[in-house]
Order: sequence, then C-alpha cells, then structure tokens
Amino acid sequence: MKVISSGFIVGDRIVSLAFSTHPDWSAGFGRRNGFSFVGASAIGKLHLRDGKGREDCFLIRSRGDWLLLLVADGVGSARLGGWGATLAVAFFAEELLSMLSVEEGETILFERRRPRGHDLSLSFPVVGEGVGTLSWYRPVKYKESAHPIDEKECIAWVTNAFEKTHRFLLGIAQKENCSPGTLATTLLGVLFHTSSKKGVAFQLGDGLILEVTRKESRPVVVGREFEVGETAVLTQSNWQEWYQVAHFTWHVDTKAVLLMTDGVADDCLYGPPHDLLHRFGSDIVKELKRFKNEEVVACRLVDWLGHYKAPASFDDRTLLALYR
Amino acid sequence: MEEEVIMDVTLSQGLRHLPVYLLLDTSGSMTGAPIQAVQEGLVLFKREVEKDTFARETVWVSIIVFGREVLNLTQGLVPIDSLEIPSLEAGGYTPLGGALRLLIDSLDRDVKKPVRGGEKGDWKPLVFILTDGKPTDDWKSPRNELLMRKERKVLNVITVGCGPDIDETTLREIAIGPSFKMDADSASFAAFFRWVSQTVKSVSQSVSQPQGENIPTPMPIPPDVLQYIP
Repeated sequence: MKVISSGFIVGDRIVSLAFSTHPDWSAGFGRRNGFSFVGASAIGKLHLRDGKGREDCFLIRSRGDWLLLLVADGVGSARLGGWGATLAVAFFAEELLSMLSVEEGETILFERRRPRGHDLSLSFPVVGEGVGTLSWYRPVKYKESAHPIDEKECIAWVTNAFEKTHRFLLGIAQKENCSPGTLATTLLGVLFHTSSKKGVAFQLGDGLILEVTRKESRPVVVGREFEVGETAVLTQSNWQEWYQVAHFTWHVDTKAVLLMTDGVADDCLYGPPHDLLHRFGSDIVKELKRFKNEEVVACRLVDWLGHYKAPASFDDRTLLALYR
Repeated sequence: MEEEVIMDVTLSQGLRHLPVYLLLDTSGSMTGAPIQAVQEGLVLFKREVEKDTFARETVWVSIIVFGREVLNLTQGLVPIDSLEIPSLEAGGYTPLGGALRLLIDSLDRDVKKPVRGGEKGDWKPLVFILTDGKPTDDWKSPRNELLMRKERKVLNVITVGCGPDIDETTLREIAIGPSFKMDADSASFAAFFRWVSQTVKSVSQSVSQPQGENIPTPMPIPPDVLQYIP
C-alpha cells in the first residue's frame, strides 16, 4: 500500500438530532489536481418564513486523487428529512471512501500559507452584517487500498454504499422509534478521479447532475422522470428501482459538472426560454470563472442561491460545481 | 465598503400552478341556507388563500357546479386573485357524472405536464367534491377514467357529504383519497371551506413527496365538524 495524499472534508456534517444545527447558508470550496470545486446551500423562503431549518445539505470529500461530491434533499414532508439528508451524505461518503482507502491515522499539520492576494471583502447581505463562519476539518493521511479505475468496480462500490446507507437509515429510524419515511432524503453525487479524469455519477430522486460543455449542457445521469411534486428517496424499500448510475469522463470540451437539488434544478430544467438548460449552464460557468479565488466564487454562489428570484421557487437551494 | 454580489444567470420564467377544483352540488335540496352557506364559503376560501404570499403565486381555481345544469363557472382554471365568486343557484338533480366529465376536460386542457427543455408542469390537482345527496347520473365511468389517467394524474379527490341524505358508501366509492361527512349548517360549511383553504395553502408550499409513486398529498387534520368516513 502506498501512502496517498491527504483527504479533506467540506460541507455539512451531522451534529445533533435534538434540534437543527445546520447553518442556514453554507458554502465550501477547494482545489485538487487542477480541478476547482465550490459548493453552496441556501435555506428556502418557506423554511425561513416558517422558522424551520435548511433541509438540503452537501458534502465534498477527497481521498488522494479522488473527489466525492454529494448533495441531498431531505424531503419536506418528512419530519426529520433534513437530518436524514445529513446522515445520508455523511454515512455514504464514509462508506464509499473506506472502499478506496484506509486511514493511516496521522494528522497532517497545517502549513501556514500566504493568502492568495485577493481581498475577500465580501460581506454576506443575507445576514445584513459581515457575519459568518469559516471552518475546516483536519486533513488526514490515507493508504490506498483500491486501484482506480475499473468502471465496473466503481459502480459496484457506489451501489454497495447506497445499500449500506439505506440500511443505516432504516436502523436509525428503528432506534429512534420512527418510520423510515421520517428520514426521507434524495442523494446525488459524483465520484471523480482527478488524475484519470474518470468517475461515476449517481442519482436517487429528483435534482440534476449536469455536464456543461461549450456547445451544450446535458444531464450526466438521465434519471427517472418524476411528475411534479414526486421524488424517490433512499428510505423506500424499492430504492433500487429509482437509482441511476453512469460512467463519467471529463472530456476536452467539458467546462464544468454541476450537481443540484430540485430547488435549483426546477429553475433550470423547465422553460421558457426554450434553451434554458444550456443558458443556465453556460452562465454558471461564466460566473465560476469570473474570479480565480474559489473562496470568492463560493461566497458569490451562496449569496446568489439565497437571493435569486424565479416564479414559485421557494425550496432550499443547493449547487455544487466541479470545474477547471 | 459592502459590495453587492450579483450573479447573472438565466433562470426559468415558467410558472408552476396548483390546480384546485371545487365541484359543488347545487341540486334542489341545497336550496336556501345551504347554498347561501356555500356561497359565503367561497368568499372565505378566496380571502384565506389570497392572504398567503406563496399560495397566491401558485393556486389556480376552477368551480364546477352540478344541479339543474352542469357548468364550469370559471371556464377553466383562473388565478386565485382573479377569481370572481359566482352567484350560485340551487335546483334540479345531482348529476355528479357530468361534473366529473367537465373536470376531465379541464385537466386535459388546462393542466400542464412537465416537459424537459419545455415548460414546467403543474402540481397534481386537488379536487374537492361537496354534495348533499346521491348522484343521479353515471358517475362510475368518469371516475374510472380519472383513476386510470397516466398523465396529469389526479390523486386527491376528497368527497364531503353534508346533511342527512348522504350515502356514505357512494361517497367513499367516488373519492380518490379521504371522505368526510358533516352537518348542513352554516358553521359546518364555514369550517369546511376554512379547511379547504388550509389544505390548499399547505399543498402549495409542499415540496416533493417521497416514494416516487402514486400517493395522495398529505393534508392538514380536518376540523371536528368533518367526520372521517372509514
């Protein structure tokens, strides 16, 4: 086994069942092997009005050359949907990454580095004051235990992690003496190997994983079509019937891959205008590349998610982007 | 100095509607206080739903009456803030089957299904049927058509019977979802329309339902005056 580079964690993690510990607005960012990534999640207008917490969540983790990007939408009608979503991404990531590598247990000490020379003077208008939190989990060294990239094996890992996460959620529901549907959540993600530029994308439930190229923007996973107001969730017994997984290769003309929950997907999948999806994808890429500093991009992204106006768009909004 | 952060991203301009159908019995037996109470209930319904910012943006309503005539009084679905409360008149029999036919026509004509790359689809319609008697025409065929629809599906047909002449078994058979019974006094009608308003507001703000299957939309607990028919 060789020691591979460190892993990091960015995004939402479980803290408490007793009450919502999600920040209402959350953003993360980073870079690995020439790929940049940002993620942001903003509470929806309805949850704000009703004094509820954000039920979307996201998580970005790495192991060596691997990047794992996950979004989940805790279903609004489920009592603990937001908690279910956070549990799902945390457990799923742990399961999947443990198939790729094992922790060596050595914490890497932070190296102090100079700021990149940008003045990050953005305040966060949602709050109205320059208030916010930046936090990091310590990076840890890992030993590689799997050899990329066997596409079939990747799909098997992902499917296995889904199955285990499904069982985990059922176990939690039993322990908490509630029905599994109480923790109902979707789960979408991309497992991407930054050196070989290959990976898999997977989706259970509504939302969208979108590849943006110069000429077009297309769903990476052609998921099941849902009627409005319906979705599939990880806690349902027949989740496999709704689960979609596909190989993914970063082509020369790929500009970005975007993952989003339905709060954003519903605002770009259906027009008018008739070419909305590509316009949306191209505009997002343009905005991602407007600033070189991912911190700035992440701040702008969460601010935009918290503020943009679209007809009858009230849900939590989460968007992750992987780009070069 | 604060910097305003604006991203310039093209977004959907399509509006998603929640279609709400009120099928109201205006047969002869509703003459007098009951029809007056229904009329007042409609005013209350409009006022309550309009008050809600989110519902006001999404709720579209159609009022179909069945009595001496079967009419779609709103000529299809209209935005809640444009809804003009029609003047109701009672008379004739109880042709519920005809009303269901008008409902099907409107579902086909006025409710949009989602088309990727095309327009946003509407939410699944909510259908409330209020009657004080037994249907006097063939209601089973159109009811089966509703049940078998593959697109623009209807999963919520709530029946409410009022007064002493209702047939609980028939009410239950008509419904796709729960059935209730209540008295035919003005307080009961007011409570019914208040519950309809709450249901509409609640559904207009609901996000996706789990299962990806055909399950009815969860609704607020009805008031005491509405007794569930098992």
